[in-house]
Amino acid sequence: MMSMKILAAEERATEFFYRIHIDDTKLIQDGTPDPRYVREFNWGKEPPEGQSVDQYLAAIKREMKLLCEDELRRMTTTPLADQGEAL
Amino acid sequence: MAYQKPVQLYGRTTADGLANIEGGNALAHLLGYNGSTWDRWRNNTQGTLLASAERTAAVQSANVTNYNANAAILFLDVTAASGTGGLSIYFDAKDSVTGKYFRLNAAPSAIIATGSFAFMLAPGVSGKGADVSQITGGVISPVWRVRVNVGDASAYTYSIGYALIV
Repeated sequence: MMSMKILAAEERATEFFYRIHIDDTKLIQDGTPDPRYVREFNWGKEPPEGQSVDQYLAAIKREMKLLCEDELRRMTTTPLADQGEAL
Repeated sequence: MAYQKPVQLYGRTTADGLANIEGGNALAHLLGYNGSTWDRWRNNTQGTLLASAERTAAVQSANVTNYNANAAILFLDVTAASGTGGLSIYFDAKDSVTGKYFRLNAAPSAIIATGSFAFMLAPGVSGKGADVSQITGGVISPVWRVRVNVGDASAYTYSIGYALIV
């Protein structure tokens, strides 16, 4: 069963940085994450108006999960029944 | 006769942030100097800023790095709308010194209905297309994001994609 994993999460001078393994079953031979399944995100540090930093960080995680799920969907193809038929 | 250092040819893997090297690069790609390293020259690029989901609060996307584009288009697709409050879409340019963001477009009309809406930021634009909600004369910055401000805490389901135009 695949899951998504935060490989790195860092507070930097002007941004929050995250590196995400969007499918932790995708590894290369040495056991490290397949770079094709790794995404990096940099977020501004100031929360939107009316939000606390904790609320903002929770929102960031939600948005990253949505983006990674969207990315996985785009990487997946399903053959149609038409495949191989004469046109 | 003056000594001349031999020129060495390097076969290199295409990547961003290539270090300066002495000699010739055997690399059939355009590179652009960013002040300290070399980045690949980009064609038009596109991507997702916010995936489709229901949201009830203001949102800022992750930063997008723009290598050599001048113009940007945002594609807002609203599939469920409360009809109140509304969504206001901004291009935010990041100041690399302070980390502060600067809005590049004027306050747009809030989107309160479902539909597809485009927002364009480009040099010298005039006359907007049928599905373009706002055009702004200007250029997109090296690091930018989209900001979605909300008029109230009601629910909207939407996604935002982008295109960077060279």
